[in-house]
Amino acid sequence: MDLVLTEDPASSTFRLGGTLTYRDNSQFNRVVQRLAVAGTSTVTLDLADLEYMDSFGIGLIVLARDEAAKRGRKLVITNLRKAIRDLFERLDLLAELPIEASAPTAPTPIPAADAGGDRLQVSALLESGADARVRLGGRFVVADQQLFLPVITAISQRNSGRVIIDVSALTFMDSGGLSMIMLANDQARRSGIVLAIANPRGAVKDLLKLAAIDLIVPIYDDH
Amino acid sequence: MTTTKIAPLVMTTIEPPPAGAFTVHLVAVGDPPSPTLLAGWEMLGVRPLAVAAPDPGTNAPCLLFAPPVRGFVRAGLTQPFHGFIELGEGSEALSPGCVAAIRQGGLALSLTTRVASELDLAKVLVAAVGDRFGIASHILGRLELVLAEAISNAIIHGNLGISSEDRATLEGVQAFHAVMADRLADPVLASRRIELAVLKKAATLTLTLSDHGEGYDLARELGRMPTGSDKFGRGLALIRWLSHSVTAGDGGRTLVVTFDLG
Repeated sequence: MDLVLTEDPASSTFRLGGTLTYRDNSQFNRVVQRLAVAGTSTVTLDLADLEYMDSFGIGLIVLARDEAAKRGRKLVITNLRKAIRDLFERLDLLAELPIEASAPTAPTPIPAADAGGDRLQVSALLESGADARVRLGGRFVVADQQLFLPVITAISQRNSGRVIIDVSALTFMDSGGLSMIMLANDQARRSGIVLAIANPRGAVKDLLKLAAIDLIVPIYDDH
Repeated sequence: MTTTKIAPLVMTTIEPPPAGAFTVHLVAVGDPPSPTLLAGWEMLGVRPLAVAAPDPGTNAPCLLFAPPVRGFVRAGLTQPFHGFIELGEGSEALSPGCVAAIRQGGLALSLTTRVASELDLAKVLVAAVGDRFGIASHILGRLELVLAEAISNAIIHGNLGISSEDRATLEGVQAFHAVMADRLADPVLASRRIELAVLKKAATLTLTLSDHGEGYDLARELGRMPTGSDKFGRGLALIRWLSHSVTAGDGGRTLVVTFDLG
């Protein structure tokens, strides 16, 4: 990595060039040390010449942000090349890093797997005749169980028809997610309605089969 | 009817790493390794040598010792590193499983409970294991689920000491998450370590996971077979169904799971 520092009374600007990887740990420490020095001037990371960074480099940028926050310093990141901006966008870092607006670059569609991170996504309950359908996406794990609670509450307020949980966009589920499906099924029985699972794919389909959930909850494909 | 092979369960004392000290290169980001960390590792037979960057000209495994930033965790599990140690309280300790894995070319990870609970560790690890060892995708799928279950158990029942009871109702689930939030806010419990090691030898992949909780009767829990309508408690059964063998040790604080790659 090339690192050039220019200073004036109001700001310190580090211009980064080339690649930012684990090999640049010591050199990048100059940035962290500058943020640690008492003062009120702005520290700018100018990435105009930065062509590539690995996950370690991303860690260094986040570390600089955290150091600035800890010291009450203003950090600005500017002049991102498209490849770097796309990388930050895929990792949901654009909103988390203090990136200054620069010349616009053509937006790149976020790959589906990275859209909104991997957290569980739960749609609203969509009415369709006597049935209602809810769509799940992302990864359904213990940490996200509470995002599913409104579905169980909605089931408790129904008294006829079916509630279909469409899991076609669910990429992963652990026993924590499975527990919530079973709780929803329990609630459906108490409400006198039927719960069904539609369109499981990949790892989710394997898990449902392994845990023999099809013996308890109807599972089918309607795509 | 689904028929599933169930992995044999063995209760044993987890073996210590092979005798004799070995050198580990340590890249530190932020604070340098403390004398306490260096002394603690020496006692485990690990001779840490602080370096600015991994040296491709040496056979010594290189670990990344850094703040818990996602990029650093991923980087520590990616070549040329052999593991990530979260900078902070408890980092001087390494589990025997981690030491053995580092020594034999595997991967090691040491995180506080707070950080482990915030990361989707199973996903991060399975990607790293796939890249590192070239494991077939169907094994990686099983590994991901086993990792998710084992890590959840180590966090929830191990380090945070939360029982698995009373989660069979909506109110029970809400109460469980409230207790979990309370315990993660406890600095003592939240700073307990989760240590994880992955090692591939010949046609076997071994996963070793240790927590620092009070321990519990893992053999009894592993032996319990859930029924189809159970609303929770499938985690350990899934681990047995998906793996080749499961070994519990250290009073229930360490779980060793193997996968047959043949």
